[in-house]
Amino acid sequence: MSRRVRAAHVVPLATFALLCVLLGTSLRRSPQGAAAPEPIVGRSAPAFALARLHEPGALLQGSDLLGQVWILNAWASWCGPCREELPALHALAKAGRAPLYGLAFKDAPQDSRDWLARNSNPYVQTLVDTQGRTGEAFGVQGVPVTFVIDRDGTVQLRHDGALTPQVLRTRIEPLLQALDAPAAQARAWSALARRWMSQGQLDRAVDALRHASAAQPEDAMLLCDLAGVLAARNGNRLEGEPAALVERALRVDPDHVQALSLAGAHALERGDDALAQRHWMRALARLDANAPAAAMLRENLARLRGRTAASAQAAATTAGSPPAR
Amino acid sequence: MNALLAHASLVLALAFALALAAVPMAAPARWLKLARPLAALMGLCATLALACLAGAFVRNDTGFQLVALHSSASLPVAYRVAGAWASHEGSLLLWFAALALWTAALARSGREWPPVLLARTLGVLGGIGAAFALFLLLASDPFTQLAQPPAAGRDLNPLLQHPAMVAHPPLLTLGYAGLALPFALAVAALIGGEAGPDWARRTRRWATLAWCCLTLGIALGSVWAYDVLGWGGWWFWDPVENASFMPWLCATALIHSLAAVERRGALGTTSLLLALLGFGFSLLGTFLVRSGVLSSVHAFANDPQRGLALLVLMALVVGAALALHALRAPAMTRSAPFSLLSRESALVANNVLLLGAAIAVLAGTLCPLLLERLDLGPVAVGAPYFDAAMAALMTPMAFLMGIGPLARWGRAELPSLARRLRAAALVSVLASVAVAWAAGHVGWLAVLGIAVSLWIASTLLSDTLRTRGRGARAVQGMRIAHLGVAVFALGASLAKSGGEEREVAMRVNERATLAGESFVLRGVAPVAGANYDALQAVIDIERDGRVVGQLQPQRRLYRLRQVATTEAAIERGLVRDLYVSLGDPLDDGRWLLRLQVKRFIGWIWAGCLLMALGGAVAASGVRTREPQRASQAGEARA
Repeated sequence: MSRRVRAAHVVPLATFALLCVLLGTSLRRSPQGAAAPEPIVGRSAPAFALARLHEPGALLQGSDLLGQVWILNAWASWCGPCREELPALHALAKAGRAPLYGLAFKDAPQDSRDWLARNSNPYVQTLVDTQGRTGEAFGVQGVPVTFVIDRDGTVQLRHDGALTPQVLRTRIEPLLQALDAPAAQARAWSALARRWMSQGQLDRAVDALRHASAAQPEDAMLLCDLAGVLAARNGNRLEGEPAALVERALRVDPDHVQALSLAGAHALERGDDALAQRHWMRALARLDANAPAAAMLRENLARLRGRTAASAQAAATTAGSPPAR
Repeated sequence: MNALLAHASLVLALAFALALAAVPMAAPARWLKLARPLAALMGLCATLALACLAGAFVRNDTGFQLVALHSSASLPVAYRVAGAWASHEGSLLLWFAALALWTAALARSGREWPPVLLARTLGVLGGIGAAFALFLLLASDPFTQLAQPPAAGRDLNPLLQHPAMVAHPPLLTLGYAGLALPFALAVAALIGGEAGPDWARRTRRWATLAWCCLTLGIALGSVWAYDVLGWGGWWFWDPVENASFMPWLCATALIHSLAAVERRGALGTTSLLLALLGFGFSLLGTFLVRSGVLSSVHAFANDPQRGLALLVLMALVVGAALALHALRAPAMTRSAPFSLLSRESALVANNVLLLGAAIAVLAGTLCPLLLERLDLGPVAVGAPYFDAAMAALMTPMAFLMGIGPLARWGRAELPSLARRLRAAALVSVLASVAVAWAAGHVGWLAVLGIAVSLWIASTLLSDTLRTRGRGARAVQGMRIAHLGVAVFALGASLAKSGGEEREVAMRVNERATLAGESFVLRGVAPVAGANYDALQAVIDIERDGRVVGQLQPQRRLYRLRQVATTEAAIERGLVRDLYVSLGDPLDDGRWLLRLQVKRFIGWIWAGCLLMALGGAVAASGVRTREPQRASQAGEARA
């Protein structure tokens, strides 16, 4: 038996040992209990705060970009296909429908800058993600990947691989167009408003609802939502702009339950108990008897009949509670 | 009560597995007889444990933590069964049960084997089984009980609620665990110092059966990805897919290599190594999917602690076997002479190419990990690498597939071989030019794939004509399986090149055309399923003014998990699939629809089915009765 034959038979064992070492050490490096990425489309974009490639001092946060449709393109200077998709990216940036942000995924900032200088820069801003944490939170495993993110932060599209004119034509442009439709705008803005409200940011919620209502002026629900938030900001008082909005909502839909509830609360605020009772009775007639809102209205009506001083406050609180759409 | 029974069966299975592992070490020869009943008992107990878990799922017994996490009262029964192996713990129990069942099957058919050989083989399997049972009991208990059972379970992940997910995990697991049999037979052969035709005959049946399961399992996984992920793709070179492909490549090499050992006594030590590596890859796959080392859309919930335990298990089992191979194989190298132009040579090349492909896939899968480890910066390895590697290795492979079966064992004559291949070469070149021309603009990879497919098919035809279709079962099985490869290659090539897609916004009763097919949106209405609410579009497919089919894509919202999914509707056809997914409504009453025409996709899975069928035919031809001579000789050697 020659020594060479023996040596050859040790090769598989040695290779396997190396493999085990590699896997064992990688095991420790992998984040504790990290779950596999779930499909991100339809969910909120992960929060991030990253340095800007060309203004390293200033961080850009995900929340800074809320309220607009924007596009995120994850790329890297070490990625071949990323160069191929540059013409498509320029076309996308030039169309101007949505700002295009770059994410330099697992790339050294200097390499990213050199690459952009050597080729061309289609991005409004490029975010520095040297460690790849933000990219991984988006579910990026390889680049390029392109995401379209809605006004409320929902990821609407993920495209893996290089962008081509065909992808722009068949996937991205139709989506951007669809997201600009009034109904889609109103939906996204009011979702964003809910988000701001849950964080107690009433001014921003008002702003978002104004946008939503501007997109769909004839939507009674949006008008009521806006009136409710304005009232909440104003110490639960409906007098003034909120009342005008409720009136507009009732012009659009005289039987609108929320509008009627709010109109009743406003009447009570002004001391017109009879009008309040009429509005609430009318609202109650439109509701399913078992609905929670109906129970609340009945309770309010009962208190109104008792004419306690606290009733006005309670009604305003109930009717002016955050919109639930 | 039920949990008690389940735990008891698992503990008993562990006890039997340990006893089985100890039998060949026991001195008195008459004890060896214990191996077969012990294997049967281990199989029984493991199956009972799995049945307990499946039963808890079917009864929706939310006292079981796994049931509470992966099932619900509204889940259809078939998916409740699928829920049993949707989790880390459940899938490993399935693994152990599959291993125990294979072990029992081998014990049953090995009645006439030399007792020492059988005891050693079963002993190795018992050892592996004991490791898995111990891991289940200590680190990954599938029967954990909840002190306060929730009123309702959390439902199964909606992506897994697909018919293919009922059968895909068991078949794939049977494939993975089945490769333990050739592994155990190889270890027994290394201990015994003999890997000749008898060893190959005993091993080939099990290797082939496991390979069949693996083939079907992978194919079903690919069907699932095509149906459910909604992109219309069928293979993504995802780490988890690669994890199943590597053992498949290795097992394919093994079953071919075993033919040479069985017929000519050649390639013995190579076959031993392939048997060891095949199971090594299968354990590696099991580890990769569950450890969180690589991220993947298909992976189970990851847990580095359990990952480490699985890694140690793999390192011990495979490391010990490879060490044994390094020690014993050099003395066993005894090759019958064969010329450069012979079937043996073709099979050597076959082994090199298939193992090379497995290593190329392994390298592509682990490369990001290695480079990150060495701080050489991150690298993305994607489909282009894998496609190129496969084209480079599989094209010569396919060329050999045409030649190998026609070449003689030992020594083939070039003139006669060339004469036999002349017609096939001519036919395949002309036909692929014709197909490429007819199909229009297709990439060179596709033309190559078509040529490869036609070359395999035409050599197969010429061989079948020459022998008038006669041949042993193994030969018939080989022909069917090779035809399957041809069908698969054609499907994969045409699917890659052909196909169109378009996103349209349609009003009700509006028409859209794509690739000559007319789609008419008839309406969108809400429908309710067992555990989801959906919006369903009804789309007529029209041809020449007549409705020839109807598609009903859905957008579902699963009630319990509040997860939305897109359920594409697919009309499967011989040469093209129509694939429609329903998108969002626009505010003007139109609906966004994604229409896709996919060509020859069905051929991919038809090819896999043919391969598995061929494997089954070949395995059915293996003699199970020991020839008198071999049995005595084996006993003498042992």
